[in-house]
Amino acid sequence: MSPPLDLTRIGSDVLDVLDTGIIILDNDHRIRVWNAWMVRASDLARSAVLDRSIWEVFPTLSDARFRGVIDDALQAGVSSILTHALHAKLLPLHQPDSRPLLHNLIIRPLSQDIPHCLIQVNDVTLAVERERLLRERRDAKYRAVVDTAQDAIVTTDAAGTLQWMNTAAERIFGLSSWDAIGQDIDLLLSPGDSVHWPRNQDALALRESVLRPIELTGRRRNGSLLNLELSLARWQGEDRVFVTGILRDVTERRLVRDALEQAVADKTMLLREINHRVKNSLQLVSGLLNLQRASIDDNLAKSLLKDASDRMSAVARVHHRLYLSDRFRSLDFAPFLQELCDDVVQALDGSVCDIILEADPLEIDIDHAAPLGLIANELITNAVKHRDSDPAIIHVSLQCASDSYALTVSDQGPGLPSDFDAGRSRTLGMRIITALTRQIGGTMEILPAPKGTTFRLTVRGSQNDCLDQDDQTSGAPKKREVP
Amino acid sequence: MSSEGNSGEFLLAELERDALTEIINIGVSRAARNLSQMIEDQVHLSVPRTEIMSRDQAVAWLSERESSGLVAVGQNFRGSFSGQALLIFPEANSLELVRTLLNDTLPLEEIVDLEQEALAEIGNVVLNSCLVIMANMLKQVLDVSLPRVMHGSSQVVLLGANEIDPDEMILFLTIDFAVRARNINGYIALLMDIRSLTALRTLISEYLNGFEGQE
Repeated sequence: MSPPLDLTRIGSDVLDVLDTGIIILDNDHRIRVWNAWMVRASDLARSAVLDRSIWEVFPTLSDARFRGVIDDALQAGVSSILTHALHAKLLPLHQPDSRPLLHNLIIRPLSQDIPHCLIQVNDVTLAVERERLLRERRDAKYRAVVDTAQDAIVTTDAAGTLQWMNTAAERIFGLSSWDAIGQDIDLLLSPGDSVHWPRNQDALALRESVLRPIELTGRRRNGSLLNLELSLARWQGEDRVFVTGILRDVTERRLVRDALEQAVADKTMLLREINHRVKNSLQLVSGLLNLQRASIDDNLAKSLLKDASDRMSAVARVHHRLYLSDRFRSLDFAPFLQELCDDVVQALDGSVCDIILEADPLEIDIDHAAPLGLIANELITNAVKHRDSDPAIIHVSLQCASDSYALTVSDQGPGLPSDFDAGRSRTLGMRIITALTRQIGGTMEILPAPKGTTFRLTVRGSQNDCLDQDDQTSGAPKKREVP
Repeated sequence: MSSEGNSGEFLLAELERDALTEIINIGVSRAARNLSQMIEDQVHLSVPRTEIMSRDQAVAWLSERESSGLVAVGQNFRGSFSGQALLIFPEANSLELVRTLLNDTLPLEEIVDLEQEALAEIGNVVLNSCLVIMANMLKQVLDVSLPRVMHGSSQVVLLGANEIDPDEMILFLTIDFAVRARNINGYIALLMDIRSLTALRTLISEYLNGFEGQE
């Protein structure tokens, strides 16, 4: 059995084999222990330091903090640390290859009858290096993506405090990360914007799935504003919630879009104006014909001039309806029919005649609008003209199916002669109806009726739409002449 | 006096609590002096308020005020009164504090690397100063351990790994750091059991009596 270990005898050997610096100071701050590690790291032999005051050996150390820490240990029994993080220079130590040695100091009281304190010197060069290398390696990949991105990428915590931003963000907003980090995200956003960065409950409520980008106004350091498109994502690090936003500068795009919107608005205005003027011109011509009618005595000529004037008015009405709507490639036909019927009844001047209109909503292609308007005008005025006696009732209906529509006009007059053939009729009205029906690809039928006459115009396979849609589905406008 | 303090009121009378706040204010101004020397710029520290409450109340009190994660530097002290001293910051403020205290020319990534050590030392400076001043003024000797850094919720930093003693009370002090035109708020917590608190109370009233005797 070996004898018990005598620590007092081997104590200094133990200190010398430790891979850390050990200094022990007495109550008068004199160096009492200086281990081998200290000799190597400082190039100061024991004989050069022992029994000398530490302030004499290291005059640069004599700042108040170091003294205070030693006093705290000796007088109050308090342990302290001094880190390389907060002290650029502690002891003048170097590594074997003569590079500076980064170290932290731990100062502890040694509980003895006579107060002593122990200074432990820990070499952290390797740890610091390793940390830096790890960080650089970890950062290399994401830097390649994030710092070369053209869009600004910023991260805030749930409270909206900026935590990080990429180089594009620095460039776009004109400030450095150093100035921005720690500040509120509102630093980058326009105060007047109605869109806000999500904070607190809003940030927590953000789904982690992809969100639709939103537009908002940003603010550069110099106060100028810029249009941004923002995509947001929420993520969680340890137990904190973060919000990362990718901000794309869309100022240019927004300018182009605004210019396009303005151009479209101008075109719309112009088209409305043209329809308005065409309507006015046609009404002027119609008015001139009426004036001419008043100046002649021949009843036949009067009636022909009236018909011509009415036809002008029917086409003018198409342009009026186009002027009233925002669409220029289709016409809502039901209100057109309503107006036409109202006008015809009004023109009868007190005669007792009712027109009963049942019209489905129908958008018709602009190419069909004028011909169909004229056909309706002819059929209705015909029906009114050939009514038997007052009171007369005329039925007008517009029915719409998925791939066709039908315009039906029936009266209770004496009816047509049994050998009537619309295609061979020599009256102008019937010739107009026949020609225009062919032009719009429709078919005209005379339906059997117990009393009076019923005309039905059916147009199939048309691009007209029963539903109230916009006119984008119709093809390129085809040029057709109205005879 | 706030309602949170009610349960602890019988433990420390208003005058005694004021005296303790005063002692700790002397402690933090010593810490401010140390920090100012370290960074060669003015650091102002002040402790405007002291609350006393149970651990459970403190956890609730703190999580009500700080929704994000916390960082705490803790040191144990042993003597005629024993316990644990904590310097607590919201995590976001802690980086801000270290950044403000460190050299402005360092890139942020390096500051993140240094954050833990720097925090440990800042905590060490502040807590040591408070404890040394408390010990000196109350004429006691305290054995104070080295600092350790903890991260987590108020539950984690206040309850820690220690055995939970239901009798343990917490003296809660808010602390304001004013450094380089920035204001950073944190908390100092002194965790003590009833026995230590009673001992502390006795020492404080002796200290107050000593004052009266001099007048």
